[in-house]
Amino acid sequence: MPDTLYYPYLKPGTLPLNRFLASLRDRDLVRRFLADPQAVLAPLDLTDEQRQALVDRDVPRLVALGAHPLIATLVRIALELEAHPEKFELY
Amino acid sequence: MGEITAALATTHAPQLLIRPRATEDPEEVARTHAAMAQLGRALDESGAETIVFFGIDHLENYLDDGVAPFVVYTGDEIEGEFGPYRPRYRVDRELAERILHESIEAGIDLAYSQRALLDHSFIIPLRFVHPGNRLPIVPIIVNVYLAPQPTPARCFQVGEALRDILLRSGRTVALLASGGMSHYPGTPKYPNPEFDFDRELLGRLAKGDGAVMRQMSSKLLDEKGNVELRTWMVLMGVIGAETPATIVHYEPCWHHGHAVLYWNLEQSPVSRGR
Repeated sequence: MPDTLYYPYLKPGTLPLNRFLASLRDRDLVRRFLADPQAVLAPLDLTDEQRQALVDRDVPRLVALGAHPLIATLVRIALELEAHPEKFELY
Repeated sequence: MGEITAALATTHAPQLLIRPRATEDPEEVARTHAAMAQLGRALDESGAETIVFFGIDHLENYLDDGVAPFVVYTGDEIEGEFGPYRPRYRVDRELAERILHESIEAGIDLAYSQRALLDHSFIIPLRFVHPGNRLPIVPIIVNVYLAPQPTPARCFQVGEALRDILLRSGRTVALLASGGMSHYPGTPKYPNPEFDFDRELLGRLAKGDGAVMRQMSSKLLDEKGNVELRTWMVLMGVIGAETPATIVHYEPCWHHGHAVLYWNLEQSPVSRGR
């Protein structure tokens, strides 16, 4: 597979993390995650480091642990938009 | 006989619709909106009756299954989703199906979907270039964020095949390519895009020197934060890479080179029906 600098092919071991990030398009799940991240993360096939990075919304750490950078950053924005809508202007 | 009467390209940066107040300048956003409105006037004046729209997927439809280089949507209607926005768009199903069928016949393996959800790469340009929602669209999704993406050369080839199909279609068509320019979301290079690369390329496009893009590698696009230029390349394959462009607007904000442009089709082979 090609070596890329920024936007990769998803190696199979990274799929549980990336699938969880992708599932956060569901706004109900976003709300549940904001309310109780540990409860949402508990049943998932993630490492402790991945869980912590998700709780911390630490994009560089998530990417280092296998998250696709684009999906990691879009999720961080979606969480922020749900938690603090006043911080955004909607056109 | 079909006609292509407009060829437009624009940024689709998220802050153009959902602006983080603390980090994104509203005046910069307003200037990009105004430039996109100018594309809208060009679209209205073109007499086009349908928009073939080359957009992308920010890993929302395709992540780990069915990741195809090019997907055409062939339903009657399609929804979009971005934050709280849930627009619906009419799809030009007749043209979409013709594009699909004739591409396959021509040996171009387009995938198709009848249930994609359009992301902000479609929603944002349509909102500011085509706010009246007057025309139906043919959504075509180009894979730009999951390696291995289609090569630049392949994007031009697909565009060239589409040219033949559209010129036979009996339809009056506008092309709209969404994406670009240099930006690096989610990476350490986010505050430091390659704006010189953007400016140099726009200078070439203004002179009709677009053929240089055909030789670019996927590696170069990744390095320069311009993976999304693939949508422009498909469009340029349709109209001819030598067609000069008018650069309506290029303004780098602190993390993204915003470009808005259209191609001058009176100097394109397609204006002569070729």
